[in-house]
Amino acid sequence: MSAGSPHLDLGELLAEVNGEAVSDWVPEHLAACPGCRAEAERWGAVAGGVRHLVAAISPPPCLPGGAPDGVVKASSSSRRRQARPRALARARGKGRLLVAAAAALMLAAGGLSYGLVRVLGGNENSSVVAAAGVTAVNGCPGLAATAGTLERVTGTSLVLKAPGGAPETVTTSASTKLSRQVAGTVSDITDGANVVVFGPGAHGGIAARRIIISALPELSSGPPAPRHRHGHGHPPTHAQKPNSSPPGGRAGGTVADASTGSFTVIMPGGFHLRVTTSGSTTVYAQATATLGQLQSGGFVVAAGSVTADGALAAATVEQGALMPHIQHGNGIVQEPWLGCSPSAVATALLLAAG
Amino acid sequence: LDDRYRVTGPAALASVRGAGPPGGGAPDPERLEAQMLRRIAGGDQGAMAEFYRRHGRVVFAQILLVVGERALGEEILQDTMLAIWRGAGSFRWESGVRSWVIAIARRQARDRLRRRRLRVVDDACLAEQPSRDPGPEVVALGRAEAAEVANAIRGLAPAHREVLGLAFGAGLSLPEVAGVLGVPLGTVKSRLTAARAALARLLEEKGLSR
Repeated sequence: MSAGSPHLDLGELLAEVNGEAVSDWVPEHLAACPGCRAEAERWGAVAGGVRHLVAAISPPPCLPGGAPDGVVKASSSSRRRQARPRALARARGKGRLLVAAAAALMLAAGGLSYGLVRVLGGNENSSVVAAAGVTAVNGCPGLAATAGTLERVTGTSLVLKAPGGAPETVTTSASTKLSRQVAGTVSDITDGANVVVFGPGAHGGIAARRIIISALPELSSGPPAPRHRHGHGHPPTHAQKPNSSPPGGRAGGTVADASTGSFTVIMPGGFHLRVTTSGSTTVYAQATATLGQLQSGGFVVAAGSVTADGALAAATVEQGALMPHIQHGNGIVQEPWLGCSPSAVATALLLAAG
Repeated sequence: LDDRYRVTGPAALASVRGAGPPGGGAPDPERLEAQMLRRIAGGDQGAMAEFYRRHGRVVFAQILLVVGERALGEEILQDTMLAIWRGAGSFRWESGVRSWVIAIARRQARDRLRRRRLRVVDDACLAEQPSRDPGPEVVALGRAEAAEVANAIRGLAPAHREVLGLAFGAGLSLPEVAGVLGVPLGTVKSRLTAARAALARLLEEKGLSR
């Protein structure tokens, strides 16, 4: 009952309609007040319509990814570093998020992404990067990116093409940063280097099959602090059960304790992951390049701004050594803490390609 | 799944908010929700699946009421569940779990719609819309079948569908609706009243007032 009125107020009427007991006074008043009763009936009709509508709606029994907990499976490692799962993106089909890119943004930040490849591509050898057309980077006004194979270089412009997509023109200028992945060696991995490591789990760490040494962009801030599930000591390096080898994954961060055959990756938030190398470990480094050094048919990512004619004026162009499977997408999800430098986005896309 | 999270139905629902018996009896639903969120925050996938089973339907219905497109709704639902998976540890009981989840869904929907350069309805515009006392057209409400009302609801403005969904679909209290929408309680009331009036007019146009 509202102040100054002997009748039921809206809250009381709605509570009555929703079957919530407010007070004994309400039903008594309704029995005695035709006006309030009529109001309750009208709201009841509205509620009946809403409930009828809601009853006809069935949520997906299984979220894309396999099950209601598919969202968990798809994001279990991404939550640790706030990436977006490929499983969800795949289910969204064409024209969806560049999920892999977002996941890779973690990598660009050197963030903990152990196990991410399992989410993104099943193993460390089958990464996915989503790209089709020039794509806005959500959270970064004015920033856009694209990815695809390099069809040709015309003057200072590049033409990229994703499978099934239209060719995209990327313009460059003297200020565009160009780089490409070149072969490196394990000895190039020294303390302080930023790396992304791919490989299967081994003894609580990673047995590196592939390592990319990259001039990772300096980010404005670090990622959210990781949740420590067990006390305040050193966080676990992965979320597997004790004494179990984790599945394949990747990790990005700064190298420490580099020695023959192993080094430690320190990820933002203090995660330490031991990486072992072997004779079969492949190492790539991101090296400055010129337009002429970019190889036709190679995978290229570019980030910059969209021009009036729809081309991408690239601030950063990076060519990878590996050819990923390319998905179509219509947006790159940028985590706020990653910042919005073109280099961060481009490197992330490239690293998503693995 | 842990059986603790299977407790539903009258016994659980009868438990008074915040007054769950410490030593046994029907578990407090709120406490169960708290435990579930803690488990989700700790990375318990089973708890996340159970959370989806408990809230997915209502949340999805609310999303669909707003966006009106199933495929988009499913995307938003995914985003919402992912946000919950990421942020379960941040829940602070400043609201009920359901209104918290719906508020997350609402933000996700807004983000999605913004990317599509769509707008729901400007809140300020709605707030300025005068409340209407029941007029002659409300007669239509009394004559319409639930299915007819449901059909008419589809023709309402998204923000009107949204507020009706929150109040009657999700079953939130008016203060909770205000919290989800981020508007004053009075605005919720006027928006509800305006939604009902618009609904009645739609029904009247269909000849249900005769």
